This record gives sequence, C-alpha cells and structure tokens, in this order.
Amino acid sequence: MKDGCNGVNVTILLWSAILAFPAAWRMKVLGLLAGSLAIQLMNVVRFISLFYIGQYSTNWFEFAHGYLWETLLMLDTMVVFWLWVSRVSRAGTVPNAGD
Amino acid sequence: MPAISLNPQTRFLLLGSALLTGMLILWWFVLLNPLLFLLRGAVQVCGGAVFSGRSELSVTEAPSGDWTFEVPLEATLPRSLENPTPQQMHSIDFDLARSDAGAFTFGLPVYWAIMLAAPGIRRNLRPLLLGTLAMVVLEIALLLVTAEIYAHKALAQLLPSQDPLGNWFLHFSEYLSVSAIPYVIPFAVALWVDRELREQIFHWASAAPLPAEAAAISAGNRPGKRPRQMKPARKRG
Repeated sequence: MKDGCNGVNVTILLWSAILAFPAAWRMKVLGLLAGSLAIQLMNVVRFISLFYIGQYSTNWFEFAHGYLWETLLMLDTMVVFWLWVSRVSRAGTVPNAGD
Repeated sequence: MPAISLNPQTRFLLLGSALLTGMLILWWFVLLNPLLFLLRGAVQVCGGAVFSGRSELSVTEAPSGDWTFEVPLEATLPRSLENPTPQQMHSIDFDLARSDAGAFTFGLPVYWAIMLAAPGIRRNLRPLLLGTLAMVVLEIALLLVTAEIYAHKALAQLLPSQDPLGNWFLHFSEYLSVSAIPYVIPFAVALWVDRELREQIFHWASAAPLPAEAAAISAGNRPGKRPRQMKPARKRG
C-alpha cells in the first residue's frame, strides 16, 4: 500500500478547500474531522472492493484501482465539501461571489 | 408510487457515481485506443509548434503500446571515464508506459460524467461543449509539460553533479503532472464552466441571475419565492 492509497491526497484537497472557505473556525474544525472520516470510510469500501476485484481479474483491478476509484473518491470529496458548505450556509455565513 | 425526493448532493453523488462508472467503462473498452491515437498526433503537432526553433519533438509507439518520446533538449555532458571528451546533446529519449499515456485521456469521460450529473445541464449544453474543448487543450498541454519534466529527469540522471533541490522539484512536478493534476482537471473545469454547479456548491449569491432564475424573473417571479399562480383574466364589461 502506497501513500496515495490511504486517501491522503483527497483529504489534503478537502482540507485546503475547507480552510480556504470563509466560515467560522468551529465549522471548519467540524468539516475537517467529519470530512476526513467520510473520505476514510469511502476508502475502506474502496479497499474491500479492490480486494475482491483483484481476485476476479487483474485487468479489472488495474481499471478500478487506477481510474474508477480515484475519480469516485474525488467525486465523494466534492460532495462532502458541498454538504459542508450547505451546513455553513444554514449556520448563517454565506459568502458573496464578489467577496 | 410516491417519487423519492433526494437532496441535490445525494442526487449528484448517486448519479455522478453511476455516470462515472458507465463513462469510464466506455472509455476503457471503446474510447481509449482512438483517444490515444488522437492524443499522440496532437502532441506531435503541438509539440512541433512549442519546441519550434529546436529540433522536432517525436513520439513513436512501440509494439507493446508504450510510447517513446524524443524531446529536443540542448545540454553538454561533461567528461567522464566512459567519455573522455564533453558531449553535446540535442535531444533526449525516454519511454512512457501506455497506462501512463492513458491517464492523459481519461479526463474527458470523467468530465462528461460530472457535467451530465450536474443540475440543469439539460437546459444548457454550452458548458458541456466549452468544457470539452478546454479539457482537450489542457490534456495536450499537460502531456507536453510532462514530457519536458521526464526529459529533464532523464538528463539529471546522466549528469554527474546532483542537485538535491532540483531533483526534489522534478520529482514533485512529476507527481503533480502524472498522479494529481489529471484527476483534478475534470472537476476544476466543470466548476469553471458550469456556473449553476459552481453557485450551488459554493452557495454564492451572484449579481446576475442564473438562466432558470432569469426566466422566472421575466415571468414575474422572484427566485426563492413561491411562484404566483396565474389567475384567468376576467372579461371586462
């Protein structure tokens, strides 16, 4: 298992987005913790599915490992960020486009 | 049977995951070879323009499917035990595995999947077309940058003096261009071209209304409020 396989790259991406977004620090900390947990949970599902795909076919493993799961994790990260921003906006700190 | 109502995030995640899986399977089985062929041709043409003034960039495909790049690069190799006189280099060769070259084509189906899962795309196909064009340009540019990075990495291995900072920079640049940027580009381009998706995710209140909101405003409704019910016009007299 390499560094990139532990979901650290998408976690860093999510952390950068959350830290750069104008929101209260309490919300940011909540986003960092809950977001990292969501990504790690998804990564566990990824590991399990890759294990079974690897038993079935090396070609499918290469496809799922190199492309499919990488992009699914990116999509998951994007949605986690979207959910967090919705939560922040409900809490009452919605930034404007010009800010 | 009552329809299941999902929030936009869940809908985007489910639809996006299904479309990503479908699009990537289509790419893996059908689109990969034609896209690799087109990419190789485009890189040769664009590389000729980018590296003009120096010798031509050439990309050839080996029977295994791997690509061999010949990148123009002027350098002087110092004297060594094997070469008693300094040698002038005009180009450098390196191989790029077929799977690594494929990473510069898979952004397109990923981008299509994101855009087709995005809310409101059926009303406006312009972002889909504009983004596809942007993706093509960015993928070609990224492969040219990657070729330049690999060429400098290969050169650094030939030079006796090692620069730790320069080597670290090349290693980091390689990681970004091969393992990070190709995966981020489709998402970044989707957010860049699709205003509705961008505003939904970032919850930005824009100065100009979205196309759907503009239509509602022109019909006499305000966004965020319940539309007024049209009463039938009463006949006067």
